Amino acid sequence: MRITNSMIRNNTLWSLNKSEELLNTYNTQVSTGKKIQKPSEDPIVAVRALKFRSNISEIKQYKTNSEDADSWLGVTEQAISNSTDLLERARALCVQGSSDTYSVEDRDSIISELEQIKSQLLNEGNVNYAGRYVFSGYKTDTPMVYTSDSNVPYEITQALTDEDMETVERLSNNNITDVNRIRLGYSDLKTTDFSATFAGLTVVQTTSDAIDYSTMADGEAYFLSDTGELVFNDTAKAAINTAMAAAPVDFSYQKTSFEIGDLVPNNYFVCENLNTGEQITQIPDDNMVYQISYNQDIQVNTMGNQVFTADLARDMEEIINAFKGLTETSSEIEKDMIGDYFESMLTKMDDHLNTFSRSRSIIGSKTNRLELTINRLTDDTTNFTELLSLNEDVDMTEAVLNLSAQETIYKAAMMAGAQIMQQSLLDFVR
Amino acid sequence: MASSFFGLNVATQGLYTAQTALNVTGHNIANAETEGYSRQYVIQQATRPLPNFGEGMVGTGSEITNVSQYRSVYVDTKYWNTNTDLGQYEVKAEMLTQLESLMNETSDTGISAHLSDLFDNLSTLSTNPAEDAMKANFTDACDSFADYFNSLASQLEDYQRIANLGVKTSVDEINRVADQIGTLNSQISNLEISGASANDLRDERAKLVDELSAVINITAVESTDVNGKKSFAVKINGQTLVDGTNVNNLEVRSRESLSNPEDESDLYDIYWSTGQRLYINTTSASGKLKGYMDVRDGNNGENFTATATGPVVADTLTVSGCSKTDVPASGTVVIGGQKVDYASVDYDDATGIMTFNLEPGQTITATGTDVRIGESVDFKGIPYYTQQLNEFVRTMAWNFNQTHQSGDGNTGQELFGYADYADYQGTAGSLDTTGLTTRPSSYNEITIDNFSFNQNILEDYGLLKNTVNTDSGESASDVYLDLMALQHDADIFEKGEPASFIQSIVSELGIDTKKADTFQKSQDNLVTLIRQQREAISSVDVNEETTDLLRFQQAYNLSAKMISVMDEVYDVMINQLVRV
Repeated sequence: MRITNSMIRNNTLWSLNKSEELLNTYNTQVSTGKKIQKPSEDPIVAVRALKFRSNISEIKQYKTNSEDADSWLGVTEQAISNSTDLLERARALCVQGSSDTYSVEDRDSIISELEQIKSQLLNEGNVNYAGRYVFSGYKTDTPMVYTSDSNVPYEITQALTDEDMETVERLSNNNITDVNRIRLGYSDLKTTDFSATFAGLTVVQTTSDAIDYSTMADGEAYFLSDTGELVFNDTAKAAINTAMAAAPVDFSYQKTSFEIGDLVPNNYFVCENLNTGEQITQIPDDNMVYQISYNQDIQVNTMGNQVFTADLARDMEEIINAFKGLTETSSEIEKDMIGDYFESMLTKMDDHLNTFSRSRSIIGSKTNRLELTINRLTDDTTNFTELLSLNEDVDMTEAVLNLSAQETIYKAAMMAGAQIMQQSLLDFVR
Repeated sequence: MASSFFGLNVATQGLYTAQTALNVTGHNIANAETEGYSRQYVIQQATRPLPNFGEGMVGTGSEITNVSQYRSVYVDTKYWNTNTDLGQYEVKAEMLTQLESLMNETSDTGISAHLSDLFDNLSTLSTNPAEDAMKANFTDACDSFADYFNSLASQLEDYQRIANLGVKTSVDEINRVADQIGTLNSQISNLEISGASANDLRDERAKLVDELSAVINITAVESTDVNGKKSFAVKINGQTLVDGTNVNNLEVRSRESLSNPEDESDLYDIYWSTGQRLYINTTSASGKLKGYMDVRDGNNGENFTATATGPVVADTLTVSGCSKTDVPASGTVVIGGQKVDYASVDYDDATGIMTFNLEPGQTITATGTDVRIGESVDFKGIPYYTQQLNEFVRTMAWNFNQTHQSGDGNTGQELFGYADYADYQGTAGSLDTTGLTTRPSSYNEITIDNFSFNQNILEDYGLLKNTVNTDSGESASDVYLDLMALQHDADIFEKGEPASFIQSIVSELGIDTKKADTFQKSQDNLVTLIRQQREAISSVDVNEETTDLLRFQQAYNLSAKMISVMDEVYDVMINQLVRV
């Protein structure tokens, strides 16, 4: 084939250009550290890179969520742990109360200690995490107990069953009698505006001082507005027990003023705020859910109304009242009655302690699960980052070697080209 | 007996011949670097011999009968055919690479990154639904998500206009070259009347055809008619561009209606000056023009098609079996091959019937029932990617709106809409999702151009609903959790999750670009090979010309020597033969 020097020249240029192209590619690889600059250089690598990137971003988010959940659970657990300690102290005081007699000073100091314990206990329910109340379910802007006195009136409706019915000892005409009662959520209730009937019985309002337990009528339920109780005689109790066993019976009452340390009705009962008309139609049982992994979520909250129960608040209140009732002028009968009361209280205290420890163990197992999840997410992040790097990063050693090899080739090509292009027959013609 | 000065004449002939040959060699050397130059050579023949008075024939010298050039029409034709495909893939590779850099993927600022950001902010919001700072983060992420698509849209529109401009520039170039070829044709035929070969003009004409072949696929043939007259004709798809001095120009005309709903307005179609349309959307067409038109019009064959349910009645055409519901709001529809204008169109989601309200005063003569809008272009160009992105934002808007509108007892507003949408608050607007299970056609109002986030929510975070209940607390997050579930909903698109959809678009674009690149490289190699073959035949070699120089110089010297010898002979003959 006839070759002309323009062909040689063009070929040399063409080969040099190809070499320069490779030189450019390797140079870019070395300076950016990446195999590809745009998807078209290797579409499969590019799409995998996109997938890995979005995975890594998601995993980082899950890790943040898990750590948030861990902190939330930590705060919850601390509150419950503190409460357990307080409750055990209260229980110890109950044991004391159920044993010997003691002096006025002892009694006073016990009462003041119990009052401290009660207010501290309920305050643990108000613990907050960065401004949000931890035990209030979705209503993280509402505390569990009032932090200041409030005069906002509420109408509260409780659905009572036969399990709420208990028998207690009361003094009547200087005799200890067994009285059937249902304890409501609050004391110091409004004396009017309550349900007129209760499971077929007529409701009569009175106070604990005024009532005579021996003269209770059959068809009537007695609403003690100062202590917040409904009391019945045996006939009445028998009459309504079956009805209450079959289905809960509603009873409504109103409370017009709340003190510090009183439960906020929104978090505990079906109620209506009489000022704003806002209604809570069911007892809150909220699930605050954090997503901690792909298709995995965890409930981080504990409902305060299941741990710091209304019963607990009322029990503490009654214990304090019982202590207050023990004066030097109490009769032997009264002291016996109160002694029995403290014994029965011990069982209740144990129940409450069990509730706390159950909550704690649930939180403990969740914390364990979170730890495992966080560890796994950390591992996943490392793995995916490594995969991403393997996928799109260039092996620096290889790239630099390629670059220097290509440079050598380029130089050699230029030298050869320069030699060839310069010579022609004319140089040798005389 | 021969004439006395016979020898002198023969030597003189030799001198002139050598001189001409030297001149041609000089011309070759001077044009060694001229682009498109084919080396010329002299055709030297012995002149007619004369009878030598019964003693055989005696030669009378030599003459140059023609100066010809080394050029192969076969290689030229091969070059023009191969160069066309190179032009097409060059343009496609360049434009698709630009499109790729527009999508900006595998960087931290592409669509995938914005999508991840959106869902990450949503996840953080779900752990703290009451915090204003978190709401601000999420709503800002949504807003910039929408803004990103708007800027993508304007850049895609720009690219379509650039491709459109490329079409016009290509047509202008075709016209310019055609005119020049016509002029050259007349010059060449004038010069060649005398039988000579107009070498340099032919070279120029071939160079012009080289340029033309890159732009569009042509067939260039020189034919000889019965009288021996040669004429050079260039044809596109069988239609004559240049024939002798007769030139048919092409012109561009703006479209009156949109082919694809995603198109810019006033895109060009190409027509001959005689009025006939030049179709580039065929498999035989190639060249830069095809490259630009494919990128500009490529809709992957997904133009609107349907079947008419009956004849046109009262300027109304009803069709069913619609291949898609997204059509231009007004424009041209083709029924059974006949183009008809329509002023508006309605689509009934429940029945799947689309109704075109035609412009009054048109008579329908076609009998076919196949209905289409625009053309099916089998290439994934700008309209295809725009349409895919439109589909993406519409589906995302629909799913987000549906979930959020169930918030706060079904009083939530739509989260995403289009820029002029005024019905976010209160009355049920066209984007309302209440009671619907599939996306209605009203969502076709949303395009990446006008995709926007509900600005009311940016001004009042209270409009961001976290729960479907009306009386749950501030930290309830069920609406947010449902929105987060969309990130991994594999049924949301045919191609899977939102991130997978974007990845598949990126991969399609990447593969197409790589294909164009690869084809360009292989065509480049082919063209280079053929160019080498051309050069092997036509280009000037310094060594050859040097030897020719020596050769003809020797011939000249010898002829000159001959003359001086003859001179001495005559001197003897005249002066010394007869003493006076």
